[in-house]
This record gives sequence, structure tokens and C-alpha cells, in this order.
Amino acid sequence: MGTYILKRLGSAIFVFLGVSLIVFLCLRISGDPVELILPLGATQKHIEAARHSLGLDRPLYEQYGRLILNTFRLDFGNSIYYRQPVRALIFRRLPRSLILSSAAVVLAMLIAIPLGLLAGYKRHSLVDNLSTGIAISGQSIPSFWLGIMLIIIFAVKIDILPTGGSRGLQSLVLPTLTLSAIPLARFTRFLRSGVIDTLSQDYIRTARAKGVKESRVLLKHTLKNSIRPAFTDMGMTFGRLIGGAIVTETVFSWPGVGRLLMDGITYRDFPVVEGTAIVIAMIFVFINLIIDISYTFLDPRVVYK
Amino acid sequence: MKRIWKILFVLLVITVFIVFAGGQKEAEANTKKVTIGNSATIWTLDGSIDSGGQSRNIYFHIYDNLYVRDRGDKWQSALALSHEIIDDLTWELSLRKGVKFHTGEEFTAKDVKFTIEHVLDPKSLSKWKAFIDLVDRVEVVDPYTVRIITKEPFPGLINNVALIPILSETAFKKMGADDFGRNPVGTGPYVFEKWVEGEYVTLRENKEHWRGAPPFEVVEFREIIDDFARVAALEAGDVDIIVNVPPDLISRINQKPNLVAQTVPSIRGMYVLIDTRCGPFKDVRVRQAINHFVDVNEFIEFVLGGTGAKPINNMVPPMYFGHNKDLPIEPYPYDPEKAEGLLKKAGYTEPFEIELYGPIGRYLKDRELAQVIEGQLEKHGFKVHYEGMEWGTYFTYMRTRQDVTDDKAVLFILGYGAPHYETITPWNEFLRTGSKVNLWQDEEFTKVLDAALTEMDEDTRISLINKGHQLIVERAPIIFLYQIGDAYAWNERINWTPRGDEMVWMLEASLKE
Repeated sequence: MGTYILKRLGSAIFVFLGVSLIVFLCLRISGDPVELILPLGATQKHIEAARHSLGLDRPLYEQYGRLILNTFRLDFGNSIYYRQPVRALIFRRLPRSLILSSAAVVLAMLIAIPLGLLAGYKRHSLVDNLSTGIAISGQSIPSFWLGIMLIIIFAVKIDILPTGGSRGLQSLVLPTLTLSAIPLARFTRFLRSGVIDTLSQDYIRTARAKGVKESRVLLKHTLKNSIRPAFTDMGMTFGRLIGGAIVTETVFSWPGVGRLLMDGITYRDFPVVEGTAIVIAMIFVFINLIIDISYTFLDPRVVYK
Repeated sequence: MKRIWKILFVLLVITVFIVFAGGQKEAEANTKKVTIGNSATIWTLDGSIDSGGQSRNIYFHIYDNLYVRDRGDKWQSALALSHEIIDDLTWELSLRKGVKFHTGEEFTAKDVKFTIEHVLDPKSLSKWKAFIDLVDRVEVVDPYTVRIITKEPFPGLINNVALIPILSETAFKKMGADDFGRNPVGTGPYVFEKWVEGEYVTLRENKEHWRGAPPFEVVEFREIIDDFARVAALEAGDVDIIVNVPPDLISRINQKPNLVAQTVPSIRGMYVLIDTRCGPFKDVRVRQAINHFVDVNEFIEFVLGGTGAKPINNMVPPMYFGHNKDLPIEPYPYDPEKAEGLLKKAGYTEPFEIELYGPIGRYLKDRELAQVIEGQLEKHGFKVHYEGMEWGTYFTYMRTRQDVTDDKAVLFILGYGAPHYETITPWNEFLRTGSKVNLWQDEEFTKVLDAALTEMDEDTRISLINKGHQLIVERAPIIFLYQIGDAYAWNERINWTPRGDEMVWMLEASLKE
């Protein structure tokens, strides 16, 4: 197991190099950030001074080399717009993104597990149709629409929750509901398929023939053997939500890294985009490692050598 | 199965707890607090760096400027009591005595010198630098007198330098630029309290302010980028004032009790820049014709309905310095017959292909504006290729157009607004020969503009600007569009009237009794 973890961590270096190179090149292709920082009236001398000050007048290989070396020290430079170290910007916002993503994934799992289990167990029943409805709705309703509807209902009409912000547990509720819609739909469908597949296995028939209680068959034998695909998807989804909850963060003024990244892209804030993308990629790698390791607990047949 | 249902019940209870934890929304305890819903990202609280309108609204509370505009667009003294022009290159300002920074340190001339020099330092990457680039140096005469020396005659000095908030030199040097940007120190009516980036900035009253204690104990600016969410926040009572109300939601807000939405003519003008160097638009008659083919009023009525937009005959609205009052407000009214006649005179019997470019999300309803222009021109037989772009890409594309020479008819949608009210600044940036954009190369206009830029006598300067304005109207290097209306909405518990210069200043507001 130790060797496996070391190998995975080693491969993370290649992920980092790949992500950083792609982000670095895409940003340079996108254009010169100085044109956006300075007002239209800026003189050529002023523009050149700004490019020098940002290190953009240096050769590309030197800029990339600097990015790689500095990243190992977790130093992504200063944001062009915020005028602050990117590391501080990311680490101030990352906890909020982690909280929101975790809450969305937990809420989705809490609803998806019973729903997917029952839908698979009672195929073509009311519960199954309900879960299908939730899955289709969750995946097809745009986040911005759902978010606005939730604001109108719970913050404006019923007036029990704030419209946005990240102050207190209350403000977490509506963004969590919005963000959980897609993972909820995916988990439910994954689990339903898994349950249907597992229920047709010989060991389930054997368990029932032995007279094992139906609840035990479902919860112990079926759920445990059906949840792995959903669990894998949960890990991937969690990683995606950390940097990808841009719409939800914008609608609810939730100051996470998604909006930081989006602002960085919009205004060509190179250090912000580079730093945020690299940190998100590394978190993604780490989460997937945790998921892989957790398989050994979920399924004793999985052994890493 | 009973056990399953028990488990499900427990899960449901947990879910409900997570979702509705916290119970009822807390009532707004502090009634002496006013909350403003902004629509733009706040990058820094160092007022000497960013010139964005909504950032400035925060700076107006933390800092004082040398002068501040009143509602009649006249400069009123703030940190500067008066100024005197010593010679064409030297301005002397007398400063207010007894003003203290939030740290308790006294404001003096050295803070003015430091702020201006900090702005001029290329390393600061200040957006204000271009506004005062003609300043050569600043000299402290005594603690309450400062001299600004310019490189060449700069008649617009006060209009530009007065926009810059004055920082505390001591605090800045002690904290460093990074820390100061998060913990600003000014002399303004409100003291910085807290900033959660991407969410809100909280300011607390400065009872020692030289104007006296401000009307609210706490002023908070929230970043609510999404238009609908901002309106919902107002309706829910989470904020008291919102900016940039979408036009289609104005009537909805006005139907709500205790809420009011209102528009004011803004300082921003919209226009279409014509590439006059290439293709059919080389001919002034074609440019005049295209102006006659575009029906500005149709767009104002059907897309901007209710926002108070008005047609204009310049790149900027009439309140800018030197506006030529003798020119008709709509120099090229919608008149397709006249337009066709002009085209024929120019030798174009058939409509031609036009490339129309515009930014997306930069200005109010910019995509719709492009689509309406596209539709109006196509109605008259032109084949229009419209391409909308994100601002950064768009701006770069527009800037590099001057390097291309072809036979295409090319148009760029743009807007301009700046609180210096200097008409010649956008002309200098977009219309002069050799400007960064450089799509109109008219020697006569450039000569007039150059003279106006350095003319210190106000009457002569006005007549030069009037002349330049006349040339623009006659030679049509742009399609004349409209002055945007700024839409605000607020809760009637606040006494407040919106201004046309984008300034949201809570010294001009109060709680309704």
C-alpha cells in the first residue's frame, strides 16, 4: 500500500507539469493582460513598464521555469488585479469552496442512497419513477435558474434564508441545495443501476434462500456491493465542484475559488489562473487517491501492490 | 423493512437539519446600517490603484479626494481648499488643516505628494496614471501647500487629479502595498472594518471626520454580480440600494411596496467606431449613410425601455466639457431614403457586406445592441457578419485592426464614460491620428485636438473643442448612438437620490424618520 501511495504521489508531479504547461500556454495565447489593466489612454512607455513589472517581457521558457520553481514553494506570485499574493487569495477562499462542495456532496449522498436503493429494489414503482424524475430534473435544470428560484422562494417569499453571502450556516443552505442537484441525480442513477445488477447476483439469491432478513440483504449485501461506482463518481464530482461551482458561487455571492478562477480568466490575471488551476488539480489528484485507497475498505477484493 | 424505514427517517431528519439549520433569518438588528449591492468585483481597497466606478464608491467613504463633485457637476473643496495656476506648468493647491487619518496622524502636503507619485510610479500599475501622466513632479511648499508641476500645459489637471483618493503615506509605507490594499487608511467619513473578498466590505463611521459624524453607523458594500440575485437581495431586505438594475426589472421593482427604481442619465455614451481607412467607409457619404440607416430610438424604446437612455451627437454625453450646444442632438436621424441617396452619390448602388464586432457583457445590453444594428442594416440589404467577444479578446482584436489593410467595411461597438468629464480624452484615445486604435486619420481634427489638449485659456479651449465636435459630426467617424441611463433601486427606508456620475455616496443619504 505504501509503495502504491508513493507511486501515485509521484504521478501527481506529471499531472502538475501537464496542468501547469497547458494553463501557462493557453493564457499566453489568450493575449496580453496589460491591455486590460491599463486604461485606454496609457502610453506605449507605460505599457512596456507594466509588462516589465509583471515579468511578461521575459522569454516564455523563463516565465514557465519561474512558475514551476515558485510553485514548489507554493508561491504563485502576486495577482495582477488584487495586488496580493495569489497563495493568500486561494487559501482564503479554498475553505469556503471545500465547505460548499462537501455540503453539496453529503446532501446528495444522504438523499441519493435511500432513493437509489429503493428505486433499484422496487423497479418501475412510484419510487423508481420519482428517482428517474429527480435524476432528469437534477441534470437538466440549469444551476442559475434553480438558484434564482430557490432565492425567490426561500429568501424573498418565505423569507427564512439569506439571498447570498457566506455568513453563517443559514447562508450555506441555498447554494448547497443548488449545487447538490447534479450529483444527487448522478448518484441516484449510479446506485439504482448498481442495486439492480447486484440483486440479480447468485449470492443475493443464496442469502434470501438462507432466510436472511430482506433488510439485511438490502443494506448489508446489496448496498455495499452497489455503491462503488457511485462512490467513484462522488470523488470525481467533489473535485469538479471545488473549482467548478462558478455559477452557484456567482448567484449566491459565495466567495469560493471558482469565482476567483473565473475572474482571473476574464481579466487575464495570469498568476491567479495559474495558481488556482494548479491547486485545484492537486486537490483533484489527492481526492482520487483517497477514493482509491478507500476501495480497500469497501471491497476486500481490492488489493494495491 | 421496518429498520430501513427507521434509517430513512433518521437520514431525512439529518437532511432537514442540514438544510434548514439556523431557523428564521436574523432580523437586521442595526437600523443605522446601510447596505449597497454592487455588481462588480472589488479588487483592492488601495484607492490609488483602481478607477472602476463601483470601487470608487467604496473609496469615497474610506478616503477623501482633493475635490469632490456636487450634484451640479461642480467641484467642491474637500482636502484642497483652493488652487491657483502659477504659470502654464505650475499649479499650487492650498490644503485643509486639522484633517486626521484614521490612524490619528495629521494629513499634510506630503500625503498628496506621496499619493500622486505612487500613482505615477509604473510599478504601482495604477489605472489613474494615464489620467495624470502629464504631471512631472509634486513639490511640498509647506505642510498645507503643495505644487504640481506638469510636463506641458495640462488644462484638465484638476478634473483628473481630483479623482484620486489621498492615501496616508505613513500607513502605506509601514504596511506595504499588499497589506494596505486589504487594510486601507484614509481620512474619509468611514473607517475600514472588514473585507471578505468576493463578498462584502464593511465600513464604520468616523466620528472625527472633518465634515462631522456621517449619517450611518455602518456602511456595507456587497458584491452581488448576478442581476436577478441583486434584485432579489433588495426585495428580501438584505440590501438597501442596488446599482445596475436590469431594464426589464425596473417596473417589477416599482410595483413592490417600499421599493423604488429610478434611472438617471449617466456619464457613459455608446457609439460605433468606424474603420474609416478601408473599404466603403473611406467615403464620408457612406459613413453618413450608415448613420441614417441605424435607428437609435428603436433600440432605446424596445430594448432599453425605461432606462432613460437618450440619443447623443458625440462619443460622450453633453455634460462633458466643451460640448458644442449648436449641433443637433440627432445629426443623422433615421432616414433610409436619404441614406440610399448618399450611398448612390458615393457610387454604391448595391448594399455591401459589413463586419460588426462588439463586446459581450461589457455594457448594458451590448449583445442586444449589436443584434439590433445587425437587423436594421440587414433590413436595408446589407449583409452583416456580427461577432461578439469577451472584452479582453475584443479589445485586443480592435487594437490590432489598424495593422490590417483590406477592403472590408468594419464596425466596432464601444462605450466611454469617465468622471473627469473631459470630452477630448476619448477623442485622444480613439479618434486622433496615431491613437492606440487609429482607425480615423483626419489631420485637421488631430490639429484641433492637439491645440485643445494644451490650451490653458478656457474660452479658447472651449471653442477648439466645439470645432473638434463639429468635425466629428460632419465627418462621421462613428455611428452616433446614445447616452446610457443608469438604473438604481432602493428601499424607501433610506432617503437617497441617485446621481448621474455613478457616485453612490452615503453622506448624501439618511434614514427616513
